[in-house]
Amino acid sequence: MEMEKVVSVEGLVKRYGDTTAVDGISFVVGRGEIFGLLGPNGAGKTTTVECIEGLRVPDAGRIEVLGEVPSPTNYALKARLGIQLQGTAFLSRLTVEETLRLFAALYPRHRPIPELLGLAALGEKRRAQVGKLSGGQRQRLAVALALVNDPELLVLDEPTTGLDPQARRALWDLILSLKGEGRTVLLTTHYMEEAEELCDRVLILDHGRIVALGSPEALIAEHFRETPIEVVLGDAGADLSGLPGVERVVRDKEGTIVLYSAAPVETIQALSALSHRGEIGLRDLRLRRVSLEDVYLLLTGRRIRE
Amino acid sequence: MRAFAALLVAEFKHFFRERMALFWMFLFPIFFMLLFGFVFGGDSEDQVSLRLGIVAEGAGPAAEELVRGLSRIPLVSEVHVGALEEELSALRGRKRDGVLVVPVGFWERLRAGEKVRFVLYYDASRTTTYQVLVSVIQEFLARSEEALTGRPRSFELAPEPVQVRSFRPIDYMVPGILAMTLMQLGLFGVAGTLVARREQKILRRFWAAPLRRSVLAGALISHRLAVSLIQAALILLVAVAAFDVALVGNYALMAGVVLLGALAFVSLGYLIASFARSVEGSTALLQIINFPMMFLSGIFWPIEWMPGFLRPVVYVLPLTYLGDALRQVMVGASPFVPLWLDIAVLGGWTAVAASLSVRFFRWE
Repeated sequence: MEMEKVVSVEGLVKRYGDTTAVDGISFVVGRGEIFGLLGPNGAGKTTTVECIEGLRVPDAGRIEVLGEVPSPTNYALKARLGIQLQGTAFLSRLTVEETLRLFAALYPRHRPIPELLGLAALGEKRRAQVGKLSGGQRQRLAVALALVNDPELLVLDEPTTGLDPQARRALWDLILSLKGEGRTVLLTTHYMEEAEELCDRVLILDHGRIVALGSPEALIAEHFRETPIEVVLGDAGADLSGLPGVERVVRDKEGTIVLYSAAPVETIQALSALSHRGEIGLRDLRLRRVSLEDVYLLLTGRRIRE
Repeated sequence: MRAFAALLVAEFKHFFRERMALFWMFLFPIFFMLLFGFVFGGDSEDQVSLRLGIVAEGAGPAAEELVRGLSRIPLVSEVHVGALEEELSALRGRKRDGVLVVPVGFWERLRAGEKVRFVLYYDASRTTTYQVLVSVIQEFLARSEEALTGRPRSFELAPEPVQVRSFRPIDYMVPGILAMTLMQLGLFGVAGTLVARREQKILRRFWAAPLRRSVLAGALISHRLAVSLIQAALILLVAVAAFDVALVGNYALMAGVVLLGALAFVSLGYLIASFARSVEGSTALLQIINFPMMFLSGIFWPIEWMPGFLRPVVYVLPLTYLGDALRQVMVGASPFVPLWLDIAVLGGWTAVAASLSVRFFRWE
């Protein structure tokens, strides 16, 4: 099925002086998708979304958003986008409600303010000055401001960076509810679990280039056929590499043995039989899911976190 | 228009909730004025040296002798010879302490024993100076006549009061403090604010909205101009209430000069923000501009007091002209340059700073 394109990027290049921040990337975001740009700091995520938002002008390549070419003066397009920028501040002495009303006045139409306060769970804080909000509340305000004009496409740049797990979970719920409303969301993150949790498809960026593109499940399946089985044994030294399905054995620093198995059911049955016969002292056994983190590690040779 | 109004309202709310800014913008100038007012508040009639103007048209070579004689009096520091109108306006501008009119043919008439009438114009507001002046001139004329004819008193000294506005240091200070406040509104209130908002990406979020830059710039400029009028009104109110400063100009003209001054420094603020990259950098740059302007532009003391080598700097600073214009239109002080020239210089500064800002200003 041909998906309806909301964003299409072709051969995007952006340089700052001698540094090439984005080096010829192409991708398409379909309507109703949550699409994630994933990568470490400096990978080119923010530059890419700022070109899509029309805040930066690309050095080469073509971008089309909702059928238009973004530019700093394409006000008609800006009116249809919902934007949350990385690390923006607002006038600190205005209240939450006043800030929402101010931005509402900048757009041709806007969602009712009480509805936005409800969505962002900021109803109780509506009379609080922005400068006195917690990090999580400020971030939710930034997302509420991205929704102020009832946009067709939301572009969220690291919406959950710096939040505690509870606040992050609340924002994930908000973003998933937007998808439920049929909106398209383009977000950047350097949290793998966030990308896995939220995104229909992710694009992994490294040094301004595409490393991988696809749904989290497909990326994992493409790069890892084996399932990691973690076992803890009472007695060291047993050789498990001959068990059925096991392709690789890794022993980590804590002594946990990771068996990468192509046939996890058979491997576990064999382990259980060995244990039953008393040939190994099996203390613990865990099946771990392969994560995007493993994929990133495999593709770039580095961990994603700073 | 809706966006402009919303931004303007937001600026007002943000501004009036920022206590530190309110202190610097409104209370500090008033404290400053109260302090200066109480320290230097008294009348400035402590002058003991006299600056005389002599009008001696058609009085002949004898008048030159008279001028030489007057110059030798220890209490007389300056003697100027000129036409009546010229000297009277110098008296009104407080550049003379008295103007003596020497009648035509006084020499011959004194020798002939005729009564001769010398008119002495003086500043009616300065009674102490007047007393010194009259006794000095009286004594001088008596001695001159005695040396000439052997008997004094065939001359008559006719003092003529001239209404000169009485100037106290506080009268000079008030327009200066207002000028300083307008400058700082432009420097810190515009340049400082813009650089900080750029650094905190507050501006960037506005560009993500369908907002024209001219609308945002217009709202900020309008807000600062409105604040400058409020500042001017407050400072004048305190000046009149606490120090009885007499305002002479018409209020529309005052408001016009205040707005022009505010506009000149708002433009300068944008220009500084064009070249300052970070908040730290801009703070240093702003102080480098603020201090020389405050102390070299004659807003706190007369430009005549400043040494000659500093004069070129004085002539370049826009605050010199704003201070001068405000002194002229508010308290009727004697001009440093004519008012039209002040207005032209401020207008020129505004035009140059504004067009350079349009060229170089970066919103991000």
